[in-house]
Amino acid sequence: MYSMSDSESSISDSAIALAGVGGANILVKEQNLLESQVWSCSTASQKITDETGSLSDDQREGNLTVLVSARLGDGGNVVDNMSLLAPFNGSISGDLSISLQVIARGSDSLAGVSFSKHEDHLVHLPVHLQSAITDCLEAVRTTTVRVSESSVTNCTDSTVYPIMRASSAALASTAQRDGFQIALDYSVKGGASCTVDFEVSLAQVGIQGPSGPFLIRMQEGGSATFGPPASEPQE
Amino acid sequence: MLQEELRDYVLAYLQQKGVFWLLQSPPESICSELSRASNASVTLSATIGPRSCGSPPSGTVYVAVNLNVIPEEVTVEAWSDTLE
Repeated sequence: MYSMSDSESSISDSAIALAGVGGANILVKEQNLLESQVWSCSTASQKITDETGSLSDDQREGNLTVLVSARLGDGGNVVDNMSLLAPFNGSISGDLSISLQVIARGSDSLAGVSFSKHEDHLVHLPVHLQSAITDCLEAVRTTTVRVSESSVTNCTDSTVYPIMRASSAALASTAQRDGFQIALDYSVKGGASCTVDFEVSLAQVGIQGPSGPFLIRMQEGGSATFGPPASEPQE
Repeated sequence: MLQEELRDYVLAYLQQKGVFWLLQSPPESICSELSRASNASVTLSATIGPRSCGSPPSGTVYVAVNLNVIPEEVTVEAWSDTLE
């Protein structure tokens, strides 16, 4: 049976602590990233995937170096033993999952011991990213359909307002069910053919992150037209 | 108590508590919590940015685990005057 020497054990303990600190820094950086901007609902998934993939953290102590790098994980309920990162260790279905690759290298020249270890860990932030994107894009789609299929003929705010108000109420109900806040802004461009430009704004607020509560915001614009185009002959 | 044992004690404590409470708690809460977690043979302490919960008396075995978690650097310290 192989047993670690005191020196190996000490390096291994230090590596665990440094990996935990590196993982903590990745989680803080991910929170900073998520709250740094208003994301476009249609591109948020790819952008956050790309930017998470560029996060890394480098920890050193004596001759020991621990490099932690991140990429978005696949999700699902997975237990992980990196308890230093509690309550964010492991993966929870529906939450933003982050896979950490930990590479630790070190040596103790006096004891003639070298150390190299590669581990993967899963952590998460309670951000419901995919659900938010789905709700946002669905809000744009349903609002477009509601406006396009409306029987309104006058292109004025007073005729469009009830449609948008009804749409907004329906969206708010869905969003609240999923834990989001949602808003619908619009403007009307008149003519024989009426165009309604609108923007859906969605937020998950009060997320308990590693450096305190934060929110993630996303937006997506849409446009819908109703009424006959001016150039088409009337029957 | 040996320095290695003291270090293991600090790491075990951090494994149990996690590191994020150190980021999210005010220094006075951290000091109170570490004081509660201390016992007859081991005193736990911390330095949070410029604020220190306390300093080890001379002649004690001492370890410091530095947690440079952004944005605040925290050093969790422990000391013991229990002789082997």
